[in-house]
Amino acid sequence: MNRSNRVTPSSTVRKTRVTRTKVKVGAQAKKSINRNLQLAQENRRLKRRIESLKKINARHLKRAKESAIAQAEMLQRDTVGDSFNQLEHRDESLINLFVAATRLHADLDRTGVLTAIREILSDVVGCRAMAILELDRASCALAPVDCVNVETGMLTNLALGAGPIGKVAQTGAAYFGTADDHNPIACIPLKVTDQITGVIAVFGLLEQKLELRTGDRELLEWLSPQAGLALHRATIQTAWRAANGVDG
Amino acid sequence: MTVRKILLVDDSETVLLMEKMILKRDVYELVTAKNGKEGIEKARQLKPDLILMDVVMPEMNGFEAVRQLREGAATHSIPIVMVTTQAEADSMEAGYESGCNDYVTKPINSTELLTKVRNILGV
Repeated sequence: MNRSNRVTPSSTVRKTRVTRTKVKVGAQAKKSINRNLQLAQENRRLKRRIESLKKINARHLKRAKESAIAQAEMLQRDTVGDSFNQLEHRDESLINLFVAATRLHADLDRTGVLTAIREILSDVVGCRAMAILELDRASCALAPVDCVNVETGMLTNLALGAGPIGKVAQTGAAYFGTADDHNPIACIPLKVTDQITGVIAVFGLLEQKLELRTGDRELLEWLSPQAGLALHRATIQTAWRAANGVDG
Repeated sequence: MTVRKILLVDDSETVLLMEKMILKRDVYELVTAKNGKEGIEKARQLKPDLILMDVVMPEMNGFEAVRQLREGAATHSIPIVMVTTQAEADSMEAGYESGCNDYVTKPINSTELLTKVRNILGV
């Protein structure tokens, strides 16, 4: 009997086939299970990662919020601080104005008014060197009537239009410049209504006063008609008293 | 509540008026004197809680007035703030040597003056 003639019972064949299939299916299932296990593990890892990132994100958001709040508070403080500074400056300007006005109009005596103008310039504005000049209409020339730390020689008989002082007396417009040896840093016309009666010239500031600020310029410009009128009135009053033999 | 008394010593009416306007923000009794000599007399008489003293004045300057106040039994402990136009170091040194407690320079800054006065008086 040769092998080709051997007959394998069909049940055995079937069993073998089933077994082989079972083995095949088992291997595949095992592969699939392993794969699923790996995926589940990866899933868990990714979930943990997501949670961690969420926490980090939440911390960042919290910091960003706190930073925004702090910035807003700082901005508000700066704004309030700026407003407070502005109010302080305004308050100081008002005090200066009140003091200047009270002093200018407290005296009917010409000497007293000149003293008041001098004190306003030195004590309120901070001027170290200054001159008050009056205009002689007949000669159209300016002459100093009061000087502090300035040589009067260079200010005598100043013609209208000559230099910054003469130009201010001619035009009636205030002058603000930089100090040098001969030119003033500020010239203010003295006015009685529209008529120019003289000039206040500032030649130097106190050492601790670096420059004329906006408030100082405003006060000097305010002084222009007020000092002019006070001096004019005091001059008339003093002359009347002298003419009528009235003391004080 | 005790009202603190401040003696203002200056020959400039403008400075006296300015100091009064600034100090008006708080409640003080303000007394004035026109020179160092008058300042010493009023200090001995009224025993103020603080003196604001100008430097350049007729009859007696501020430094001399401070020295004399420091020598007086009734006035030696009164705090004194010099009010000066001179910001130079020498001038300030002279002020401290004569016995002042502090100084302010002209033109007077209202905030600076008020702060120094309040600090000295403990207000």
